[in-house]
Amino acid sequence: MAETLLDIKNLTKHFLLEKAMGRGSEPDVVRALDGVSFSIEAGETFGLVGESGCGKSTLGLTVLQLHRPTAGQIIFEDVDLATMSDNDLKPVRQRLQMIFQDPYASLDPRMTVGGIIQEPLDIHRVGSRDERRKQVIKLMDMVGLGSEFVDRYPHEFSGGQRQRIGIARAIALNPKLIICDEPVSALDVSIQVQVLNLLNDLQQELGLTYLFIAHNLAVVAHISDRIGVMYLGKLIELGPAALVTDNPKHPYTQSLLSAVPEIDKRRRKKRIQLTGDVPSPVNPPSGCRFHPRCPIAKPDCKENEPELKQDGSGHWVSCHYA
Amino acid sequence: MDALLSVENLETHYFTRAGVVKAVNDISFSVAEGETVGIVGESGCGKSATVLSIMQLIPDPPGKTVGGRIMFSPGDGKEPVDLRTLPESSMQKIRGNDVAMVFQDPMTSLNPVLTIGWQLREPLQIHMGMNKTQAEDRSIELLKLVNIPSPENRLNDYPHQFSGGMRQRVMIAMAIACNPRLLVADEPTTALDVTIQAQILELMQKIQAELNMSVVIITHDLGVVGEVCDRVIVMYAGRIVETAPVDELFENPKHPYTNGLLRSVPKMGENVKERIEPIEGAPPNLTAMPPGCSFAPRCSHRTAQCDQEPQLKEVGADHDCSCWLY
Repeated sequence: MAETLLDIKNLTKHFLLEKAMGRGSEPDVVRALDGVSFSIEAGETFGLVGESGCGKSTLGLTVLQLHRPTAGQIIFEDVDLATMSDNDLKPVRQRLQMIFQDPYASLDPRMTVGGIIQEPLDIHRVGSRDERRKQVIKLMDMVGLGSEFVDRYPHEFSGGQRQRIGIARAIALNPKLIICDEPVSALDVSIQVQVLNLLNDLQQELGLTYLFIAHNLAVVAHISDRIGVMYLGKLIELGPAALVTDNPKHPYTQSLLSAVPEIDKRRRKKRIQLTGDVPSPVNPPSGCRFHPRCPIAKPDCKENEPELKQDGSGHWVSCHYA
Repeated sequence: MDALLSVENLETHYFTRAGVVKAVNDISFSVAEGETVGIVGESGCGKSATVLSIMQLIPDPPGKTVGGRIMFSPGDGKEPVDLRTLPESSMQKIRGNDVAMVFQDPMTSLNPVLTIGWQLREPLQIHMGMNKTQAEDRSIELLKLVNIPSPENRLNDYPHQFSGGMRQRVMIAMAIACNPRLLVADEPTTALDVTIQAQILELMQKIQAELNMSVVIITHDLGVVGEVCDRVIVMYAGRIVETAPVDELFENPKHPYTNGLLRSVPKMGENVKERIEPIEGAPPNLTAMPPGCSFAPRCSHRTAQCDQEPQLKEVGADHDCSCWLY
């Protein structure tokens, strides 16, 4: 068994909503994450999928301590990040980096590409000035950007190239874990594949571990070793990628997979149509949070919250009737 | 089947400071009655410019439909008209009435300061000459048709009180209000989650069958094409590179770009982490187009012949492709 790099235990993040006009006593609470636990092993790609508002991005930001958790532990290399001060976190963040979704918004338009990639090296005072400059050229080469572009500005690049700049910045400090939040969803399909291939190549070269957050199941299934499925702030299914996509157990995962439009008629599954929209995370349903939309819900699903249980093959599911 | 819409040699250019962008570069296609045609391609390939040209909604300046014909049959035995040369006053009678459009982003295409009821009544009062009560009754029917629960209570709600999927249903209700013969949908499900996307696509197909509409749907998602379209048009850099019935295109793609696109879509249940061979490079800059075939710089089958521009030619039953390989 490989070494555990990140161990998330009972992670909870609640956001308090301001009451309009000061009415009412108790503020509403958005339960963005409610007791999520899983671990990521060194060298693997862990894919996290779910629809808008399920809490997957909040989870990524909370792991980085860009949101402080309401409760729970985030154990990275045997220390709990949740209890650390901002000062103590700074050296840890060298080994914990992030790639953002929007390559247009995540690069400072007034900095040159060289400056953007060099910034983490400057902040953490890695090597001499000359060494940093050389390292930038090497990083640009690693992500497939010509070093002649080092003094150009982000607006001179296409979306795919910008995402390569973001990747170069993320690997500059030789991190252990990179959180990729929807890294390819803003890109056209032909460019998407180029970036996914780059992420895979870099993982092999540098021994990286990825937490890969995306809404596109096919993309996640393609790149991940294991997949976790989230619904309304809860992890509802978790397992090896092939098991989750070929043999989904949770009714939500089943309907999610059946909703993915398929090119190949022969592979098209019978669609399990869900009724209605995802409920609000402010007042999530009682019991199993999926029960109001679930095709196999029974009366007790309303009362009792199911736990994440495993069947021995590393495939976990939280459903009373799966 | 007669052609409801027939686009002939359409050219739409944008006149920018960086030069003339040939967003739509001499394309021809037709849409039969009751048919669903998909236009696929990546950002900047001209798919949105094509449908905006059909709707005569190209912002002028900087854009202009500079050539070609857009022949549309209004029905009731009337002669086809060329939407490109029609005066704006006549176009306004057709737009939203015989030809309607659903836009990509349901968050920004509804007016936030008007109620849903007001926005639904508007086309009915303008095009169908209904009074307010009639229009209101019809609005309720329309909301029922698109599966909005208890529609009578929602008419006085504002768009922000609806979820994304419900707003897109309202957009569809508005578009079909006057029983259009042609519905143009520009990425109608791109902004939605997959389970909601599945609901909307199913709804569109149901309504199309009920009203016998023709549909032109723009999408970058080949899966959506596979689910709803009869015929597909693949565009690249302002031109049509391949067109075929949907099954034929997926089973027997001819153009190297189509092949590359199909290969690039990760497929569920395939070997995890198996490497996909990408299309190298990026689409060309439309102000500085390469001479000859615009896909040639990225193409692995490139030959000297590709310096000449290939024309669309028949490569199979109802299957056209513009590539020197054929």
